[in-house]
Order: sequence, then structure tokens, then C-alpha cells
Amino acid sequence: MRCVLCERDIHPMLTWEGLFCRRKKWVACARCYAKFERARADSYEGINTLYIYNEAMKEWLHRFKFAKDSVVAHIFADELKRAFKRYKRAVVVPIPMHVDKKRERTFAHIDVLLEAAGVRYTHLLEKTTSDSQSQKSQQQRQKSATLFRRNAIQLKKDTPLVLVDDIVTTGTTIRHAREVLEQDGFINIEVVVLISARL
Amino acid sequence: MITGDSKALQHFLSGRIWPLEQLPFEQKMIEQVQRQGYLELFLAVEWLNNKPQCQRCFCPSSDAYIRYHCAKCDKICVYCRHCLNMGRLSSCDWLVRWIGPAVDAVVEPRFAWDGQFTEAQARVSRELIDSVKKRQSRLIHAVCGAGKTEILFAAIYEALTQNLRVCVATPRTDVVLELAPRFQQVFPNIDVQALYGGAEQKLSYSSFIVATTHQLLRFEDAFDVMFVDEADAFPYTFDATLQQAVQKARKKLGVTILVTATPDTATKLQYEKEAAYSFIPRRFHGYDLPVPRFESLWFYDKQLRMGRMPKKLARWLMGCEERGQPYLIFFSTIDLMEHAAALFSVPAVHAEDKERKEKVLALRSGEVAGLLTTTILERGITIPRVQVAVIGAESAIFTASALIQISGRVGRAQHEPTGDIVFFHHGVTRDMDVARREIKRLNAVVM
Repeated sequence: MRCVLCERDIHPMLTWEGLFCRRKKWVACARCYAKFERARADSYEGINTLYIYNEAMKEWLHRFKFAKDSVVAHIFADELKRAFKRYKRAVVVPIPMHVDKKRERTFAHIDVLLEAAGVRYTHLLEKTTSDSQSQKSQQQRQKSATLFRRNAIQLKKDTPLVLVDDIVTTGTTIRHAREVLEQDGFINIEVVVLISARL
Repeated sequence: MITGDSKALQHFLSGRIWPLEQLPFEQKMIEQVQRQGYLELFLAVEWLNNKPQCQRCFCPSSDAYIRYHCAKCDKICVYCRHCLNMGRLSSCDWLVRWIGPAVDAVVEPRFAWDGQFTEAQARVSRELIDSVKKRQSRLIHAVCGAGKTEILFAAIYEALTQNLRVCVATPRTDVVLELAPRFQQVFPNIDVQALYGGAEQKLSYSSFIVATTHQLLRFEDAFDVMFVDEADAFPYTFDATLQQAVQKARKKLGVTILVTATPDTATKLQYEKEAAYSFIPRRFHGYDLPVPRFESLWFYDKQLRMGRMPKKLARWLMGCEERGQPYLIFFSTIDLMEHAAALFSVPAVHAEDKERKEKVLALRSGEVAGLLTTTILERGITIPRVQVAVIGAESAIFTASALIQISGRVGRAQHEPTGDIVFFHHGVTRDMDVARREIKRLNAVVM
């Protein structure tokens, strides 16, 4: 077995789980995992983050989103799965990508992350603009018009929802998404974000 | 007659295979040339016996291919991870090759070199020119410090005057960076292009390319004469796709010339049988290769990890510093080196080190007394008066050829042709014996 990030051989420990469960195919080695920095458990502005943006995370994100190596999503599968255990009854809502952007990248990265972790999700939102937040300045981000719109899927308004995104910098994307859902009458909305890049 | 836009594409694409979406030309331009029938498009990942195969790297391992749901095609597509860092290729991507007329640029090369050859160098250089003329592949076995690069000059000149396309491929980027400017000096009116990961993209046609073996994946039927430098080095011997890349980048009737200091026996025998084996047993300055000494350093691993400097090693270091000689200390693993680094007052380098070049330069200029390193510096570097120690020479990573290369770092300069090379070990291995025996054998050869 090899690490998906550095290609070094991994010698997995012999455990009962390893003996009886199907072996996970796409994992990183301990050295690579150690380079990622965990975020503190408490949430900030109602956003739960799992990791902090650092050099290793930057490399991972580049590989995942720009080099389009979609299997590297699997290395955070366990961590994401654990994070979603808290929201048993909730409906998981990924932040959507614009259709053109998705076609260009050939996959929707949040969906792929969730699929790797085995978390079921339902798209309740649609992206209305195709321009990316990461190209804008802080002022531009805060002023920008609504980024999302509700789609046709109807749910009971008291269903708890969990919004998911890959990275949070200023929080604009999340704020927009939350507003759209709140306007539609949803009252219980939580947020899970993989990486925190707060300034 | 080829003009304008198609000429630009012709110059860039000749001998290359390139992803359609990554072509550094405007869409309109590409479409127009395509209508002229000069471009052939083919799928980047083909299916062979129900197995995917990347048409760029031909990676045979099925682990390298990832199935995913592609949003562009709305079906399952496959991409290749093996050559991912050259831009992802998926089963729905297209590669382009040039099938129009060949480039007819005729350049009279100028040859600006007037160095002196030793007798052996002159002989091998003649044999090489002969090889190029007769289109016969050849193996050049030259000891470390024999002046391998210089031998190539005349043969390259011969090939360029015949209007052949030449490539010098080497497994390591450092070596490309060192070789390209040297070749450019020797052939001042030829545009020598250096290709490596992260190099600036040039659109012009070049008849002389210096590249890492990885970059050859992007070529096909391109070169008449292909020199493979350090043909025994990692990752070339380790990665079968790179060897295939060299085959693919060469024209069907082209010549491959392997250059190495440590050929494996099978290759050597094969070329000897075809009378295509050239051998230089002497360094250019005519002195013997330094013979390594074995020194036991029992439980060095434990001592270093506990933060204790082994006495023998300390004495060796003192000796170097008193004589004011720079030194290199090779470690078997990055991990051990990092544990030991605190005991030394000098910097450490390894493959992922971004300041690698600066640190080596600092040693060369005498700013630091020595350097700790992994096998990354085993070949291609020349530091005058350097003394070398290998710690843990019994480790599996130090193969006989690696040890010969490491020993070859010592005594490369004309005015200081000797030096100390010590293998500190926790038990002597076969590879250590083979390395020492081979060095002694080379020293004893009379030609």
C-alpha cells in the first residue's frame, strides 16, 4: 500500500478491523497526516472547522482542486465521517458549484469529499454566478449580490440542515448560503467546513 | 509552404504530443491549422483489453488509473495519476500530434570548444562520432570524473551538422540546470532548450534539447540522437515508464547513447557483444580513483539518536576541520539525518529541501565547513578538496553503484587528486565489498 500524497510505502498495523473490514485503498502515511494542523474543537460564528490552512493544506488543496486529482479527497474521509456523526438526523447540504465551473473541473469537489466519507447529501442550493470568491478582495466579497438561490426540492422547515464547504476565509459564501436558507424558513442550520483560513 | 500560424504550431508541436486543452495557442489558430489537416487528435487514455492505458506515460500499473464520475461527460471517466503533475489526462481529453510537413530549418552550427582530451577521451570521442555516423547505439562507461560531458561535444556537433535533432536526457533537474548553459557555450548559435518540471515554456523549435527523462514523456518520434546521461540513476532504472519514454521520444531509426559510471553487468555484456561498448577507466587528470576505507561504527544508529557523537566520527571531523577541507557526510535516511543534525554545526540537505542549491553553493564557496546529505548528492556534484564519509554504509539504500558514485565525489580536481573516503558501518555488506573491489579493478586497468 502506498501513500496517495508522497507515494511512500505504508505498512499498516495488524488490527482486527484490518483483518475483517475491506481495506481502505486511498490513505496517506503518518508523516503526511502529521503535517496537517487540526483546528480547535469550538466553533467560531457557528462554523465548525476541522483543519487549519497551512503549507501542507495549501498543497493538498492545489492538488485536489487545480491538478484535479480527485482521489486525494479520501484522506479526510474518516475525519469527515466522524464530524458528521453529531448530526444524525440532519440533511447535509453542500455548497454548490456553478454548472459551467463544475464542467470545467469535471467534478464538484465538496460532493466528492462527502462521497469519499460516505456521507449522504442533498443539494438545496444553486449557484447563480460563475465567478470565484478567491479572486476577489475582502470589500468586493462583502458587497457581492446573492450568490445562491433555492432549488425546487422541498423539505419540512424544521429539518435540521448542515451546510458544508471546503474552506472558509471571510465567511461570505457561508453567510450568503445561510441567508438564502433562512429566508426559505429553515431555522436549524449548522455549518461544517473542512479548512479554516481565517485571517 | 508553411507560413504564419501553422508555422508557429509546427515549430512547437514537431516531435511532441500535447494535450489539446493545454496548447499555448489561441483556439482560433488551432482550429484553422486543424482544418489544414496538419494535426492529429487521439484520446489521452485508451482502453486495451479492458484496461486503461495513458497514451502519454503508458503506465502499466492499474493502481495509477482512477475512475470518477465526470461532470463534463456525465459518465464514468478514468484519469492517470502517474503523470498528473504534467496536467491531468482523462479518458475524455485529447492529445495532439503534428502530422504536417517536417521543420526544414537548416542551421550551420558553430563549435566553440578547444579543450584538450586525454588519449582515452579522444578515442571514445572518435568511437562516438562513428556511432552517430553509422546510427549505432552505444554504451559509454566512464569512471566518475573522467570528463564525460566533454566527450559528447564532438558527437553532438557531428549530429547537428548532419541536421539531426539531438537530446541529452538526465534523470535529475540539477544536472539539466548544470549542463544546459555549458552546452549553450559550446554551441553559441544553436538554441539549446532546457526542459524540466517548472521550466519556462518556449514555443520555438530547437534541434538540441537538454531535458529530464520525465519531460521525454511529452515527446514522440522526435530525436535522431538521444544521449541518456547517468543511465543507472534513480528514478530512471526504477521507473519502467521512463525507459519507455526514452524509446518513444527517439525516432525509430535513431541512436541511443547511454553514458554512465556504473553500468549493470547485463547491459554491459549486451553492448560488449555488439562491439558498442566504450570504456574510460581513468580520470581526466590520470590519477587513481580514491579507494574507500571501511571503519566500524558499531550501533551508530542508537548513539546518534541518543544524541551522542561517536568518537571515531568526531575524530574524522576534527581532522577535516584542522586541515580546512570541506566534507560531505552521507546518511541512509532523512530521519536519521535529522536526529543527528543537532550534533553537527553544519546544515543538512535532502530531496525536498528548497534551499538545496544555496546550501551546496555555500559549501563550494567555503561559507560552511561541511554538509550532511542523503543520497541526493551522490552524483553530479564537484566540490574541490572534498572529503567524504558514509554513515551506515551497510544500509540497503547504499548499493554498490551508489557507493561507487559517492566515492567518485573525492579528488576530482587536477591539483588535488586524492582525498579521504570512509564507509562507517555496522557490519560490512556485499555491496560495500563489490564497490571497493570495482574501484580497485578500475585503478588496475591498463589501456
